[in-house]
Amino acid sequence: MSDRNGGGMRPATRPRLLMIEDNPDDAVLLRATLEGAGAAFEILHASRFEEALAMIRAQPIDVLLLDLHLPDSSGLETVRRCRAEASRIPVVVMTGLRDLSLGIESVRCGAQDFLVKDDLHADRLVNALTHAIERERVLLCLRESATLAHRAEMGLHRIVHGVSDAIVIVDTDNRITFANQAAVALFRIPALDLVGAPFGYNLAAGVESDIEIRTGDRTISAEMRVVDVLWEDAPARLVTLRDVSERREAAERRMQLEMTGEFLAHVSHELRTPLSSVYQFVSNVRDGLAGPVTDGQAAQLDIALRNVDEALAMFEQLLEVARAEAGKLRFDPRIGDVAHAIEDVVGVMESRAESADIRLTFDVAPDLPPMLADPARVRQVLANIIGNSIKFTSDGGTITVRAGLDPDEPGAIRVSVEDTGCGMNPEDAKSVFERLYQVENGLHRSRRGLGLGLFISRELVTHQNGRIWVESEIGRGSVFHFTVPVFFLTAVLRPILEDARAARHGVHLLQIHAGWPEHDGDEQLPAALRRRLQTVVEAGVAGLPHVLLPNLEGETNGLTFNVLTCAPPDELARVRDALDVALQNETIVREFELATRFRLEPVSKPGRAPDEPEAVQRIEKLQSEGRWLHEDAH
Amino acid sequence: MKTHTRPAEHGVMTSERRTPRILVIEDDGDTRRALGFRLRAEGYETLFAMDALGGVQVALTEHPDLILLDLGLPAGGGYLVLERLSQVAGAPQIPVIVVSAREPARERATAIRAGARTYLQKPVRNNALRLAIRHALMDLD
Repeated sequence: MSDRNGGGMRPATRPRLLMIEDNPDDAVLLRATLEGAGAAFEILHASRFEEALAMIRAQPIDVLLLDLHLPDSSGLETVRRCRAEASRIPVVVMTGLRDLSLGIESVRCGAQDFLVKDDLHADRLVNALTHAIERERVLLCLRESATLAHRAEMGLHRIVHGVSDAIVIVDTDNRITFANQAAVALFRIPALDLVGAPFGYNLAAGVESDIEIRTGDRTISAEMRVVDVLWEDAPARLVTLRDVSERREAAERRMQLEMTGEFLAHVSHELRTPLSSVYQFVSNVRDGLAGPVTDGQAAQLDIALRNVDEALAMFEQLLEVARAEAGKLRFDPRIGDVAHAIEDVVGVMESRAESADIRLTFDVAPDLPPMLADPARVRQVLANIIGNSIKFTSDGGTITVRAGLDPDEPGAIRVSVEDTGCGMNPEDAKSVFERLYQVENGLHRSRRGLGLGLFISRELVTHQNGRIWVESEIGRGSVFHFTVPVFFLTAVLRPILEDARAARHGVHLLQIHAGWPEHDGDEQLPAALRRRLQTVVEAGVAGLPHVLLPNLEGETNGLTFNVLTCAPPDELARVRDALDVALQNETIVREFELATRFRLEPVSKPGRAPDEPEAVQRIEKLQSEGRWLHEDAH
Repeated sequence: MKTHTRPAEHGVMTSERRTPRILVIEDDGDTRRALGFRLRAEGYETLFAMDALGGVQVALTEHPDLILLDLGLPAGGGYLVLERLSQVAGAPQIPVIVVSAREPARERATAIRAGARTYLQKPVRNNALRLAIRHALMDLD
């Protein structure tokens, strides 16, 4: 059923009145009365209800003047049908003297007003009609406002109950008068029980405080904020509570880790001093500085010195573990050589193996690709594992270090340390990389050490995207494996070589070197310095289409950055000059008195797409030519 | 049978040159004594100081050929010694070898930039010390 008669949003024309009156004389009289009173109504007339309905449906009507006794409908029924058919059109009902009660009933049924026919004055008629129209408009507005208000309230309701902070309204007697869903969840008390319950915490408006809420078996830390509000016209307090238990626990854990780390570092440092003294004096005696020493005495003192070394190594491990747990392990990934690392470590550990009567050898696959890993860390892991194997391998045994491409994981190099030791059972094999885990060792070789070496190794390997695991069999021995990622130069270079601009401008290698020109020592730049330089260089070349190659391992007295780019040469010159200025301005460069040098080398000519193998060869050559100091000597 | 006697082949001693004098600036008594023992066994003469200002004083009045410097000194710390010594104009710089228990990671470069010839971490291995001293003294020629 359509109701096309909305309340009065028509342009300012005369209101349209539909008079539903079957008595023709009455109709004429009414019309005359209205027109005579100068009432500005457009008057339509229907003499039957059905006719009226048709007219209502045909055009907008502003008000109905309805005679209750119609041939096809009468009484309240008519009113009801009117309101049903045209709910927005106000109805003014006309009754006879005898039907006063009917008139009153009509109003209850929805009519706006009732008029007594025989007693009808023009003013009364006009007023009734006008007021009926007005009242209908007001009713409409009210209905709309009510709907809007309801929607707004529903919206607010959703917000208040949906928000994650607990919101509680507390009255001046400190009783809860309102609690949202989050409050119910926080206190774990149903809403009905919360309301009316005493709040129980001291409230001071405008203050943020930390409170502890004990509910049942747990304690929650919460941040509490209080503001003064009016609630249902009475002063009250709005309390918001935020559960910060997790955040607090995390902060406490961090602080503890830091304190532990600092504590360990401090302890380690302090303990080195007396240990250092022991070493010095014992070595003095052993070297005959306090008088001649017999073989027997020298042997005993050697044992003492070895123990000092062990103690110092343990302190180092403690420090490393502290760093690992505080998340402060640093890695300096370089393009490195696995074979080189293995050779170095085996060289260092040879004597220890020898004195335990164990043969330590290595077997590295030929033509292994370079690795992308921190060479010092790789050596550290290898030393840990070999040291462990020495501990668990009896006299006459062997330890073999092997390296090759990982058969299961493409893009990884696998290093394996195989020993003919006592092996371990599956349980131990699973837990051997856990902190402080120590396997029962039936060997005469004492089970010394903190049990941290393999734990540290695991941290070092996994932080460099590698895996570490062990295969072992009781009585036969163990094989420890770990992987390091392969460095694929071609993969790294490809985006630049294949870039359209490479064919247009050619490809260049921009080399940036920072170092100590006169310093003839043998050390790397300190880690903090390296990191800062890298940040500056990265920022400087950020605007170019480029690839920053990882640094090569083993560079001493300075650091060379290799930037491969397909940007046009004039832009490169600009970037180089800008970098020069940036580096000169760097506090740390000035503090350490570093000299900076630049080299711009072509890798491929403009005008044609670079030939990949040729370019790779050229880059490898340029990369390894970091001999800046010797260059000057030429 | 191996007996160990004083390593006479080490130490720099020639007929034209007097015995090199090494100043040890170290606040820990035991460390001073141990180093002293070792240095004299190597054929050097030794001088001592226990704090930064004292060390600078001895350096400026006695003109040692080499200084072994601990960083963690009272009365100013090891860097104060390096600073003061580098301010002395005209006189040839006395080579300084820093010997410290601190982590070399950053300390080494800082020490060298402050003027030290080289940096040794405690506990100092005898070989390393011997080589470092010889190296530093040879540069004087």
